[in-house]
Amino acid sequence: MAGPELLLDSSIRMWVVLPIVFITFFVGVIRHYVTQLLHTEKKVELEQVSDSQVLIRSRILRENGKYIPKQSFAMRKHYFNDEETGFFKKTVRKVVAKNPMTDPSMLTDMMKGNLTNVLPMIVIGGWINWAFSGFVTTKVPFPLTLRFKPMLQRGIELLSLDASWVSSASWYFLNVFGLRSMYSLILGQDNAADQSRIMQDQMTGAAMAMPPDPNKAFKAEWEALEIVDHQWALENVEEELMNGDLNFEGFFTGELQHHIFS
Amino acid sequence: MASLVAKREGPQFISEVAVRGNAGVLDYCRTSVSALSGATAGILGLTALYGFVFYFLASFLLSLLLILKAGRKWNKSFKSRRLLFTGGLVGGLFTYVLFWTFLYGMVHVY
Repeated sequence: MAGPELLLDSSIRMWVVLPIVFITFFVGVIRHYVTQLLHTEKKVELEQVSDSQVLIRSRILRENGKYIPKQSFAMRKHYFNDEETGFFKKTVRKVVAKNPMTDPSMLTDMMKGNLTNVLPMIVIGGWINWAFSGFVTTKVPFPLTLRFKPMLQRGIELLSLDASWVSSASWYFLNVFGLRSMYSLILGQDNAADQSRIMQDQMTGAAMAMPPDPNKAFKAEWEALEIVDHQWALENVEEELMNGDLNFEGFFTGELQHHIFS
Repeated sequence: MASLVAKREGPQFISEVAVRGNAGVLDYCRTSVSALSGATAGILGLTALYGFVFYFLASFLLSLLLILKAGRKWNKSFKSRRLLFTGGLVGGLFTYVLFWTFLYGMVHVY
């Protein structure tokens, strides 16, 4: 169908479409600042930190062991894995199981996350649905099937109306999704107004915290270190250096004066 | 774009800060192009299929320009060239649809 079929009042444009855009945007910005204000640093135990550092050190040894001589590698491996005095064998930490439901700090974090993200969306969506209902707001430029009609045309009771004409609630949701990437333009990286990022963080954040059983982590690291085979990558490094082209052309400035035998 | 690879053969040391900075720059470009092309599509009055084709055309053009800018030494700044093509396409699509709908409504409906 060519051209607009409906003629809409200009005051709808001024008082509905634009305000919804501004509301969505400013709520997102406010959400970012509120999250920053309410953000509390997660407290970590000193022992946890030192344990995770030891694991990192052992992992680095495994990955880069081929750059140090065999003796150095054996010495470090001995420190970790020796039968009686090795670190991984000797240290047995008390296991404190952290149940996510009862652990207070994690619970408040979850609650805060849910509150600042989902609640404003629901509240404002509901308010817009109540305040701006009963009229057509705008037309989306692409044709939609009839299945979308009840979803996008809340409050408009016309059976024959094209599904492209949408109500204000759907315009609000379109704004929410569309402005998400605009936030990173305006607020810089890592802004808290981006809901999808926060949901992703929630899923990976559980993996980043120290596993509640450091003993298991130690045992796994011990096994990994045991089976590492030391291949010295620098074994023939002198040969390779002397065999290659040393590129001395522009190296020295000026000629050496031979005064010895003159 | 920040260079993130040490200048020698062998294992590469990757600077995390540089990777994120580069990804941020790409994201910025992608969002800007989506917004502007959405505005253009709305003003031009493109509908349905033409609109989506226009978005993919604009994204492809952006990828070409980025590859041109990255030049021959692209692997100093990026792990793979695929990222230049497909990074942030869906997020950009949402932004595009938003601006497209907005300007289409502003210009053609009212």
